[in-house]
This record gives sequence, structure tokens and C-alpha cells, in this order.
Amino acid sequence: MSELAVTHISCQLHGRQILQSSNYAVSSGELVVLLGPNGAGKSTLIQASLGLVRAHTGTATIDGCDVLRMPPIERARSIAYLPQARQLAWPLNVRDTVSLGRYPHTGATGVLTQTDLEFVDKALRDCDLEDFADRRVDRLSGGELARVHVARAFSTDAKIIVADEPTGSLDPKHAFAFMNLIRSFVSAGGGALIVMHDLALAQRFADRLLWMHEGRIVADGTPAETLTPDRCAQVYGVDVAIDQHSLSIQGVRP
Amino acid sequence: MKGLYTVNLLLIVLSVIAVIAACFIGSTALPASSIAKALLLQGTPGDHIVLWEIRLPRAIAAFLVGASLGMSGAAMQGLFRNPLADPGVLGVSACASLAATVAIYYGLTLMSAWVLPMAAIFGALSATILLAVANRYTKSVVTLLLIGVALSSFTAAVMALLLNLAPNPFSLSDMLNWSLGSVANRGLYDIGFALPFMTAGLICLLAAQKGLDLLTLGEGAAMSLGLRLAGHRYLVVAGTGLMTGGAVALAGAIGFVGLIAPHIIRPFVDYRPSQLLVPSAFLGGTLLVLADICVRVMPTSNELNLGVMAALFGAPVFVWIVVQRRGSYV
Repeated sequence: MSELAVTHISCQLHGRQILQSSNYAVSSGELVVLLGPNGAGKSTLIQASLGLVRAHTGTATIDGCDVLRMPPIERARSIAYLPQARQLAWPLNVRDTVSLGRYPHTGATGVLTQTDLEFVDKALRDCDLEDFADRRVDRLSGGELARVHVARAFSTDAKIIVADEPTGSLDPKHAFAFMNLIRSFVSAGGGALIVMHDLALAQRFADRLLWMHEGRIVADGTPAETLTPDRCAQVYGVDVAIDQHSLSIQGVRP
Repeated sequence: MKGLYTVNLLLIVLSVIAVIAACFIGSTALPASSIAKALLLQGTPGDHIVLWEIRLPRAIAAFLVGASLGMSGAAMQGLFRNPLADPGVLGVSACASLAATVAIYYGLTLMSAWVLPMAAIFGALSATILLAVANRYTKSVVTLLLIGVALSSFTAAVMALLLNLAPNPFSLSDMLNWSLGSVANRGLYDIGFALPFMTAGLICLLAAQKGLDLLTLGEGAAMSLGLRLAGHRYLVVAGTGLMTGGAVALAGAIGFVGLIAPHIIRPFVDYRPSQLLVPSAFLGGTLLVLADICVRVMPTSNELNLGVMAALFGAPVFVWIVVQRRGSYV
């Protein structure tokens, strides 16, 4: 049982408070969706939790070990991260791109052992990329590319995956397929923290929702408990109609 | 992976052939049999001198300079995630060359034979550090290239000033040679002073090569995969500074090798930045040895400078790469 636990974390950037004392936890077997409008501090919260930006106060631990004091490579073995800007500076082929996820295990030598290759193959298989393995990434569609990135994260064999708006540029079909992949990862014992803006998808897939507004977490609970018209109005400024299985946006508040 | 070994093996064979060819071809017509004998440590003392003291050191110098520039170019392109990065284009060679010229101008090189390579490396490192800092604060490729252009123009201006103020025609010709780049008259002694720095640079870059692969994903993702970004950047900056500085100390400023060699190799190594370094070094070395052979056999009254030759070929290729670039990939 792995757990990413964040307590009282806060962040300042250029003298401005971006993040105010926030607490949350993500355990294995749990798909947590982080919701909030643009500029609410979601990316900063994630990056501070992983030690990628310096937190002003607070701690983040993975299985009780302080993330910020861990050697980077050890932290990378426990948490896989998909940043918001998913760049690929060179048109590598799919297999080589996915293999990059094994760096926390191979280190600077970069020599892939049989075990590493097996994890890469498994990630390719899980993300349905076997037929594309030798194709260059600049010759893939947006949906295929999204699968390459998630396969890269899977190949690390980390217990927890953190993804920043992974479905942002995907059409509904691919966004749904992407969330299915994350769901199966969670069913197999992993933990996931996903930032997204699609409330319907969040309602459908999340075990728990974290709501962020103006740099602080304002609610933490199951979709049934926290996904309410009032909260949507408070956080996003939109009027929504919600029943047990569906959600629709009715209008925007002035 | 198999393809990679083939590429490397082929390039090693090509390099050896080029260096051997350079031993047989030269401005003095010598029968191949005499050179072959001299290679086998037989033949006349004259042939020995031509081979062991003139042609072979010159070919080795050209190879080492080309290899250093090829590898530095590949590493800079990986670090900046940009196929147009190269010690020549970004003004690193020019800065190294300027620092070396200043050392010659003020007579500092008379103090010790180590001053010249140290000065060149100081120049190269200063420029590389400046570019790495600039690259951190600007995400724009255009800005980075413009900083390189500004750096080149500034060093060219200072160089012109030094040439203007040259005390006599001999030092003028000396400094001019330096800024145009040449491996003429380089002996094993000169190579000995550049080689330690090149080797140190090689070790830095080889240690950093896997990290360059991770940078393909962007700095955030690379960091999340356990790469120590700052340490890695220092390693690449030190490696390229040492190698480019060593190359400039040996031959002066020679451009475009670091741009062209990685560009040709890239498709053969599946665009992996880590696999690009070694083959780019071999190809850069081979290209420069071949260019030097051209310089020697060209029927010109004065021998053409190697840097001029490299620029005559390299500049059009540079334009071709820029035009060919579509979107963010090459």
C-alpha cells in the first residue's frame, strides 16, 4: 500500500502566494481527480508535491519518506509524472520514448536489462501501442501520442501516477480511452492523481475529487458528496445540472 | 541497436581510411610506396619526416578538432533541444578564438605553453555558460540564436580591433590565421597540449549523454524522472567548453562541423540524442580530415585556411537545414 501524503504545503512565486496551506493524500487503488479553474494553483500544487518546485512550507511524503529529501532517482521510481506541456523535442520512435520511463532504474548508464525491456513491452501492450512501436512519434495522431506519454509513465512501474491535464487536447473518445487506461492502472493496485477540466469525465471515473480555488483546496470527497451545483458555481462560476449519472452546464455566472 | 553498431563501425573505418589517405596525399608529391615504407618505419629519413612529423600529426589534429566540434555540436543540440545549436553558430568558437588571440596579443603565451589552450577554454566556457543561462530564461529558439549572433558579432568586432592594432605584419598574419582556422604545421607537441582538455570534455559529455535523451521530454519531465537538471547542465556546459576550447587551441575557429555532423547522423540513430555523440565525433573528424586534404591539394598560390573551407561548404548546408525544418522537428 503506497501513499502520497501532502501536509500544509504552500508556495510563493515572485512574492505572490500561489498555494496556501494545502493537505491531501493519494493512496494505491484510488483515482483522485484535481479540479479547479485556470490559475487556481493545480500545477503548482502537483509540482510542489513532487519536489519539482520549492515549497515554502509543508511536507510531502511517499510511504512516509520525505519527497523533498529523497534522492531524485528514488523519488522517480515511486511517482511517475506527466507534465502539462508534454514535449518531444526529437522525433524518437515510440519504443525509445517509452523506454525513457526506465531511467529511474537504469540510471545514467541507460543500459536496459531484460527486466527493463519486459516493463517497456508491458507498457506498450497495456496502451495498445505494439503496432506502433517502431514508428516515429511525429507521425502519430494526438490520441496515439497521448498513449505514448502514458506508456512512458507506466513503464517506470511507479506506484503512483500524477498527470497534469492529460486529456486537455484529446477528443471525447480518446479522453475516455485515456481515463480507461488510468482506471485499469488503479484497478491493478496503482494510485493516480489527475488534473482535468472535464467535469463529466471526472464524475464518471474519479473515486475522489479535490477541488481547488484561489490557491487552496476547498473540498475533498467522492463525486457524490462534492460535485454539487453550488460548488461548481463557487469554483468555476458556472451553473450545472447534475443527476446521479450525468452532468450538463447550463450557463455562466456573471 | 544493431544498426547503431553498424553506423559506429562504418564511421570508425571511414575515419581510419581518411587519416591514412591524408598521409598519402599532400602538396609534396611523394610516391605511395615511400609513404607505405615510412608507415612501416622503413624508407628514407626524408620520408619519415614528411609522414611522422608533417602529414600524420596534421591529419590527427584535423581529426581531433573535427571530432571535438562534432561531439560538442551534438551535445549542445541535445541540451538546447535545437538542431541549429553548434559551437560555431552560437559564437562559442569565436569567443574561444578571441580569448586565445588576446593571450597571443599580450604575450601571455610566452609564459607557458599551457596558457594558449587555457585561454581558449576560458573563452569557450564563458560563452557556453552565457548561452546556458540565456537558454534558461528564454524559451525562444530565435532569441538563443540571436544571442549567438550577437556574441559572434561582438567577438568579430574585438578581433577586428586587435587586427587593426597589430604591432607588425607578422603578428597580424598570426592572428588572422587564428581566426580563420588551420591545422597546418601542427605537430604531436601541439596535439599534446589540447588532448588532455578534449579528453576531459569527452568524459563529461559521455557521462551526460543519457540525460540528453530525457531532456527530449522537456525539463519538467526529465527532472521528474530523476535527472539532476543543474548538475547535468554543468556537465554538458563543461564538456562542450573543454572540447571546443581544446579544438580552438589546436586549430583556431572552425565553424559548421558541429552543425553538419549531427544533422547527417541523426536519422541513423533514430534521433536519440544520447546515441548521437560518438558517431557525430567520428563523422566530424572524418569530414575535417577530408576538408584538410582538399585544402592541401587545391592549386592555390597560398594554402586556403581550413576554417574558410569549412565555412564555404558549411554555410550553404546551414541554410539548407533551416529551410528544411518544418515545425519543431528536423
